[in-house]
Amino acid sequence: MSMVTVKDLHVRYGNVHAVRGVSFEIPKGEVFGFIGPNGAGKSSTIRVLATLQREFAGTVSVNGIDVARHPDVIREKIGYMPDFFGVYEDLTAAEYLHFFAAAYRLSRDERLRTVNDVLELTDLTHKADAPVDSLSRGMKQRLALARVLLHDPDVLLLDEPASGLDPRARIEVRELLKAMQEMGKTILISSHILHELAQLCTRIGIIEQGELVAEGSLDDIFQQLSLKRTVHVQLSGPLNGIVEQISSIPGVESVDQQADRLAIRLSEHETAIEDLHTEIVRLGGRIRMFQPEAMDMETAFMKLTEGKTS
Amino acid sequence: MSSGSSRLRLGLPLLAKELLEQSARKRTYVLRTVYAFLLFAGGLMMFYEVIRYGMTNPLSVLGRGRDVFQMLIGLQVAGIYLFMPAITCTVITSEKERKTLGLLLLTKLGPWTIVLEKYLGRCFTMLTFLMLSLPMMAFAYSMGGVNAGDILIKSWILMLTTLQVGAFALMCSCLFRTTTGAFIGTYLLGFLFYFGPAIVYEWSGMDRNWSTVELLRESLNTLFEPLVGSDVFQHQDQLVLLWIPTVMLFETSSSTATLPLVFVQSLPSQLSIVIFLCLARVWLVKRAFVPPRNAVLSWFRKLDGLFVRLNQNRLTKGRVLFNEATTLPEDQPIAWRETRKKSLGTVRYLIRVFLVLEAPVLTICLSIVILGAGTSSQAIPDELSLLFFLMWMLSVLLVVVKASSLIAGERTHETLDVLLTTPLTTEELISQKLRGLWRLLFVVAVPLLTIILFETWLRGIVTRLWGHRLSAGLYFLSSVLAVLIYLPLAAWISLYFGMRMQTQARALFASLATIVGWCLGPVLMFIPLAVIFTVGRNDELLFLILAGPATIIPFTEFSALREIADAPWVVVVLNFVFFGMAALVIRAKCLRDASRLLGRAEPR
Repeated sequence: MSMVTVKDLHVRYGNVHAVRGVSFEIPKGEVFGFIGPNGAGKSSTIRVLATLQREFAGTVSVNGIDVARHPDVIREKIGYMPDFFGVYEDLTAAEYLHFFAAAYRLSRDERLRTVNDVLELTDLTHKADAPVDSLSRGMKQRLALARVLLHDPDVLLLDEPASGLDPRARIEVRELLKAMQEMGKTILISSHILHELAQLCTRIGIIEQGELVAEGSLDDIFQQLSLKRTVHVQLSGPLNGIVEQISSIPGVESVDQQADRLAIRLSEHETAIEDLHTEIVRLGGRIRMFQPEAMDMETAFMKLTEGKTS
Repeated sequence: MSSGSSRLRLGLPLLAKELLEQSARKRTYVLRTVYAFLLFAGGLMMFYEVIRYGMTNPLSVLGRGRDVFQMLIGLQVAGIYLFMPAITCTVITSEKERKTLGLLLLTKLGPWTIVLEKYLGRCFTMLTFLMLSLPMMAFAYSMGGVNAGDILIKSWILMLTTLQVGAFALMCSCLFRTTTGAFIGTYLLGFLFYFGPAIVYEWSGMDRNWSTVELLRESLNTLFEPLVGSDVFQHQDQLVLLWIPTVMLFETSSSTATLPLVFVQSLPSQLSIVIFLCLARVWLVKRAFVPPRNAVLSWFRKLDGLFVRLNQNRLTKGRVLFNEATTLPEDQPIAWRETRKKSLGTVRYLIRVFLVLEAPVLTICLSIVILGAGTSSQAIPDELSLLFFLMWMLSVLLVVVKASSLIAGERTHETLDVLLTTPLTTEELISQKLRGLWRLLFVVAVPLLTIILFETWLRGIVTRLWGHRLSAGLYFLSSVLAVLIYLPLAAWISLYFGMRMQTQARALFASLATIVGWCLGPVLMFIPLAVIFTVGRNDELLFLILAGPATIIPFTEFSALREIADAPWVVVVLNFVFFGMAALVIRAKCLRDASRLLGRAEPR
């Protein structure tokens, strides 16, 4: 059974139709990346799951429990991290976590152990007595991640967890998210940093103008988009008609003869990259360099979206 | 060249932006409508009698234009004092809050340009408000009795008042970091600026014989006599209030007033405007990037230091009565934070607030009793009544600020969403948030109760000695009930707006406007009805003024409850049953609508 199910979700703010019939499912233990331009409807969808949206249409459930009918039960099952970190200037990091541990109704015996555990996991033990206000942005994000783990929720809803962080802090957050993934948490994460999502997510959903324009694993999406990969090949010795022979390999769309190399555009679902290599060798080509271009999410994202908002 | 580009060549880009922004805002039109309503309603009340006579005998109103005109100017002055600070105190703080002031300062617009264009933007707005009275002015003029000199002098006073109040509010806007701070600061500092010296003058007894003031008055009169041809200042009081342009309204009602005389008399006001603008210019730059800080907390910390120093003496030897150990939350985390971590919630700081409020109250009460002991006064001293009303205003302000920021503060600090996703129910959340407020309520109630106890005791003595019936028991009951019911009522109203509004400043404005409107509305409605139906004692219409919660307080204070009905006890009981019910209804509404107002899903 899916841990998160969203079916035909519609959210309106007055005349603005922010989310228009979004549907997706997240199986247990998966990391679902939610990508889209600003104002596409990502945060609205996450807010519905976080029980912060009173009015919406469609079916939304977490672990089979309907969000609209039982938001109080859902709150026990989710950990929500908004795209901003609100500061309680009067609390220290440890007090902040104890505050939320009490709000999540952890027993008093449990609290100290849990708070210490999450502080250790997020590498903030040395900052336990520091005022929250004095922490760096990266530390605050880690503290927020520590907070969402306090009550050991099944589902984590993370809205732009790495936004505004420096490269080191981003890597630290990414490592923490990987650790959470290993803990078996189901994670819904929205982000603009696409290559980080690619490294972390098992599935992604691309949303634009309130509609989900693509959803599935990265491979599914690349295939869905029929994206061609460019492979750069350097051959030693004279080419002697090998270019024509390469052009006739199934899946090869074009071969561009450049100054020092051949740029081959390949449709991977017809011929795998490894098979292209084998074929070129079979045709008598002596390969000096064989370099497939990285297929990134930016390409898919740009191809799927037009930068419009709802 | 197109008209658009000619407009651009004129410059004043900030003023143009200000005016464009204001014209695009719904709030501008709402405010203008409210102003017009109050002005015309007030005008109608005041002119009703004149109109009525005019309907039956048009000749009888000839020459009465001067009275009507004078009343109209009075209304306009009240409008300026009420509206101008509110519309101007946000002018720089909003830029600070949107983090756009730095960008403005980076442009080629100098600080003076920014200050003056912002200033003009708000003065123009006020000018449009003032122009709303033109039809009524024309009406007054048509009745006769108003000459051109009158119009010029009064227009000058109105303009000066607008400029002075605007410059003062702009200065506060540059000084404070947040809109809420600027709003409260403008009204509190404004009160001190306009009334502080007069209160000191009255209370210190200087008005009886103050030779320095007299000497100053004579010197100024000698200096300006060749210029205006007469004494500029006829009496000392004028000098004590010389920077308040509206005081001249009362001085210039005589036919001897001329524009040069008024101009000279208003020199201190003009100087004050220049000083305020200079201070605004200085603080605009100096305080442009002041980091956000909890002003209340830092004030308390300073106060804390003072109390610690005072406590280090031979007698107390630094002993501490309440030692709050650092603890972690138990089962009510929000209540824990409100009462242990927030400045206006902890016992330690509340004792400081209590002492700061209670000590002067107690001192003043005792000195009134001691000073009055030798006199044969048969009434309650005015000073005690004034202190009582001031304490009421301060208490309500403190309660409103705290209550309206309970939820709005969480929103501003972006911590509300995370709280709402915890399993705490909305009712738990609200009731825990209120825990610190109830403590504050108790602290502000004690000085009020101190004054009430003193006055009850004084009333008892006066009744015993002179046989006057000042009904100490009724006074005590009514005043105590007012404290017990009105403070929570103000708290619930403010909490409601705090949940409804997106920012602390809006929540505060809305709460104060509602409370002031509720207090004054019934009185404003009553006045024309009283004129139309000639209301007398025991008339049912008198109960209309009791629809405003504040009414019963002055009626009790001045022993005037019998003016409403022969059975004042019944009036008191009915009044407080009604407002007690109102408090309960608003409380129920707050709790019932909390989830909706906070945007939290609830089980369907």
